[in-house]
Amino acid sequence: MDLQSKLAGKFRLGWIVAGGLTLLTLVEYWVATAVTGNLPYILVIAILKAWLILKYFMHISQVWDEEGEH
Amino acid sequence: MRLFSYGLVRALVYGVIGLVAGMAVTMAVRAALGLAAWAAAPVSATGSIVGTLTFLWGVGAFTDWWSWARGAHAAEPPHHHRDGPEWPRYLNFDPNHRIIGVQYTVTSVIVMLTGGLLALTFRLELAQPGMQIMTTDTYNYLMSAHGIIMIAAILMGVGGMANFLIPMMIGAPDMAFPRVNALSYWIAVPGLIMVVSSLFTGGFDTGWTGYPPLGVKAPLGAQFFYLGVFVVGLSSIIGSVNYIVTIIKMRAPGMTWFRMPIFVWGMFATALIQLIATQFIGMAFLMVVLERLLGMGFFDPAKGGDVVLFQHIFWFYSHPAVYVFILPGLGVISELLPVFVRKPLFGYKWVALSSMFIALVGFLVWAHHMFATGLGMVLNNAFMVTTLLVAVPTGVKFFSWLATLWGGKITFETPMLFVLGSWVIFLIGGLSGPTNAFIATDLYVHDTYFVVAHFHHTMFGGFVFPFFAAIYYWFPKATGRMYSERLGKIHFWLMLVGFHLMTIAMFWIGLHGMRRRIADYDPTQGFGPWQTVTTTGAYLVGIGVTIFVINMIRSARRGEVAVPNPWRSMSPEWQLPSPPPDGNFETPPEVIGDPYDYGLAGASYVRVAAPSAAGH
Amino acid sequence: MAAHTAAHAAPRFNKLALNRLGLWLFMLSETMIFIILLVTRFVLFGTGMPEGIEVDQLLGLVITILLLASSISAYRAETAMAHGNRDAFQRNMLLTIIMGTVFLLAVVAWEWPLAPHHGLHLQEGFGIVFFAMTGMHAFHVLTGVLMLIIVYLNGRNGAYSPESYWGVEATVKYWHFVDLVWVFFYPALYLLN
Ligand SMILES: [Cu+2]
Repeated sequence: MDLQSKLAGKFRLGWIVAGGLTLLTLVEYWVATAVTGNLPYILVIAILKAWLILKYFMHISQVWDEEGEH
Repeated sequence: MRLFSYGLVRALVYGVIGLVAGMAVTMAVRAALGLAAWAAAPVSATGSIVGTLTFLWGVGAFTDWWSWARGAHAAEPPHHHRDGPEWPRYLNFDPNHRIIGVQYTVTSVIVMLTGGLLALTFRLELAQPGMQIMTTDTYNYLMSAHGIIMIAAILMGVGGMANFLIPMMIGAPDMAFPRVNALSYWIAVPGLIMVVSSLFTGGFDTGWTGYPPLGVKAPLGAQFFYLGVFVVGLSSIIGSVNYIVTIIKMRAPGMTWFRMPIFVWGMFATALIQLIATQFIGMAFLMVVLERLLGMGFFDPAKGGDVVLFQHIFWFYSHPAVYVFILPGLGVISELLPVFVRKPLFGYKWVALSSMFIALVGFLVWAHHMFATGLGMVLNNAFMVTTLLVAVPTGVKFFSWLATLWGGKITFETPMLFVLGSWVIFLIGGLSGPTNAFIATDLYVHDTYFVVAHFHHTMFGGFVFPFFAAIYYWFPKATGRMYSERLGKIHFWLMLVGFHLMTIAMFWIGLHGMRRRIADYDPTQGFGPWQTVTTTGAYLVGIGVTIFVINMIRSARRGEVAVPNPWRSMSPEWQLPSPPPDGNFETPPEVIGDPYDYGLAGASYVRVAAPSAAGH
Repeated sequence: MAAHTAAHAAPRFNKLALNRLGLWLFMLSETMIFIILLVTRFVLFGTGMPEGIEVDQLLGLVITILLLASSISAYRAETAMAHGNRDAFQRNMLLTIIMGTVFLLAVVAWEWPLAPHHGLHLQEGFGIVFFAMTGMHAFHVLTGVLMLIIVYLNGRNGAYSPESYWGVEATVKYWHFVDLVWVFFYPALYLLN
C-alpha cells in the first residue's frame, strides 16, 4: 500500500475516533442536564473518552511495544 | 571579563538582573493598574520567578533549546574540549553525568553546612532554660530554616549519588537526557538561594511543614521558602525522569533487572517516588502562595476552604519523601557491605524488591502524621496498620546486612565504619518508629523531642552516614586521589559519639514531655542538663563535619594518587580509570555474573574492555 | 578525544524510545498536578455543584468541542508528517494553533471576566477551584500553543521528515495530554449536579 492511501486510512480512523469523542461529549452534556446524581455516569464517559485519546491519539501502546519507529 | 566565562558567575549576574527587572516590570504594571507600585509580596514573587529563569539563561541552560527553537539542529549534547584544567567544568552547564554528580554533591555539602550552622546556633539557645542569645522569633526562623535547608541538602545529595553512579553502574555512557540532567542541577541552585534567602527577607516561623493558616500569615520569608521549595521540587522531578529512563533503557548487555546493583534498585524506587509525589508538595506550597498573594482561600474555612486538606496533600509527598532520602542511602549500605566483608550480599533479590515495596507502601501511610488532627478512628487505624507494614521490607534489609556481616572478613576503612555506624543508627531509628506508628503511643509522644530524635536517627542512619560512606568510598573515583584515612576515622568517631549524645538525650526528655519546636522550657522540669548534652553532641557532630570538609579539600588538591581499584570492587565503575573519561566505557561492558559474588572462586560480574592509552 | 565522542554517537540506544518514555513519565508527573486540583475540588465542594453557581453551560460545551477539534487537527498534523504530506501537516498545525489560541482567549478573556456574574469569585467558594483549575489548565494550553508555534515554524523550514519528526510527535502528544486533562476538568467544573 502506498503512503498516501495509508495516510487516508489513518485520517479516516481519526474521524471515527473524533466522532466517538464528540458523541460521548454530547451524551455527557445530556446526562448533566437530564440526570441528577450524575457522577457515576459522567465518570464512566470521561474514562471512555480518556481511553480513546490515549489509545488512538497518543499511541500509548508505544510505551510497551517498541514498534512504530519513525 | 575572564570571570564571565564561568557559567555560575554569568548565572548570578543574569539572575540579579532578572530579579530587578522582574520587580520593576511588576511595579510598573501595578502602577498602570492604579495600585500602589510597591507591595513586597507580589513584586518579589514575580521578581524571583523571572530571576530564576534569567539565572538559567545565564548559565547556558537554554542555549541549545533556544537554537533548536529557532530552527537549528542540536541533536547531540555538545562536547567540551578537554584541554586545560578540569575544574572550570564544575562551574559551567556541563552535560556529563560525572560532573553533574560532583556538582550536586558539593552543593549538598555546602547547603548541609548552612543548615547545620543554623542548628548549632539555636542549639546554643536551647542548652539552658531561659532566653539568652536570641528572641523567640529568631529561634523560630532558625529552626524552620534548618529543617527545610537540610531537606534540600539531602535532595541534592541524592541527586549527587544518583548522577555520579547510575550510568557507570549500569554500564551506560551517560544519562538518557544529558542536557535535561544538567538543567535539573542548575535549576536547583536558584531554588536553594531562594530557600536560604527566606532568612534575610523576614524569615518564616512555621517549621519546615509550612502548615496554613500560620503559613498564610507568616512573614515575607515564607513566600521565598514556598517558592524555593517549589523550584527545588522541579529539579527533583526532572532528575527522576532521567534516572528512570536511564535505568530502564540503558543497561549494559547482560544486565538483567536482577543483575543490577542494589544502589540502582534503590534509586529506581526513589525516582518513582520523586516523579509522582513531588508534585504534591509543589502544589500544596503553590496553593498557599496563591492564598497569600491573591487571597484564594484553599485552606481558609471562612472562604469555603479546608485546613486539613493541606496536610493531606503535603504529607502525600512528605512521607514518601523520607524514602527518597533513605532508599539511596540504604542502597549504598548494601553496595558497600559485601565489598568490605568479601562475601556475597545475602538475599539479593529480596533486598532489591524490598526497595520497591517500601516505595509502594510509602504512598499508603501519609496520614500517620495526622493522628492528632482528628481524622477519626477508622482512618487512624488504617494508617497505623499500613505504617507498621513498612517494618517488613525494612527488616528484610536489616537481616540481609546482618547475614552478610556474619562470618565475613571485615576490614574497617572509613567507608565501612560509616556503613556500620549507619547500621546502628538506623536500627535505633527503626525501633523507635513503631512508638510513633501506634496511635496510642503517638498521641503521647506527638510533637515531642522523641519524634525529633527518631527522625534524626532515620535521617543520619538512612542518609547522612551512608552519604559520607559514599563520598569516602567514591572519592578516589571522582578525583583520582585518596582521602586521609586518619582524618576520616576522626570524623567518624566524632560523629558517632556526638550524634548519640544528641539523640539519646532527646529521646529521654522527649518521653518526659519536652515539646519540640519551642524556644524555651520550664527550668523546673529538669531538662536543662539533658539539653546541654544534646547541644554538646551537636557541636561534636559539627567538629566532625568540619574535619571532613578539611579532609576533602586537602585530599582533592594533593592527596596520594589512588590505585585503580582500591576496594577490590567488582562493580563496573571501578573497572574504569579515575576519573573516568566522558562517555565512560569505550565499548559497552558485558555483564556475565551476579553483582556481589565476593569471595566465590572464579566469580566475575562484568567484562570491561581495557581503555586504550590514547584516551587521555 | 575522538574515541570518547564515538561512544556517544554510536547507535547503541534507540533515542526515540528514550524520548518517548521520558515524555510519558513527564506527563505522568504532570497528571499529579491535575489530580491534586480535582481532589481539592471534590474535597471542598463534594460531588455536586454548590448552591448559587450557574456556570455558562453553552460556553463550556463550545470550548470543549473546540479543544476536541484541535486535538483532531493535531492528530492529522502528526499523521500527515509521518506519511510525508507536508501540506496537510502545515494546514492542520496552523488549524490547531488557531483553535488552541481561541480556546485560551475564550477562557481567559471571556469566561474569567464574566465569572463573577455566575457566582464564581477568585477568593472564595467554588470560584477558588474554578479559577485554580481553569488557570492551571490554561497555563498548559499556553505552553502547548507556544510549542506548536515553534514546531510549525520549524516544520515550514523543513526541519522534519517522515523518518525523523520527534519534535512534532512530542508536541502533539503534549497537546493531546492537555485535551485529556480537560476531559476530566470539563465535567468536574460544569456538568456535575
Ligand atoms: Cu511519615
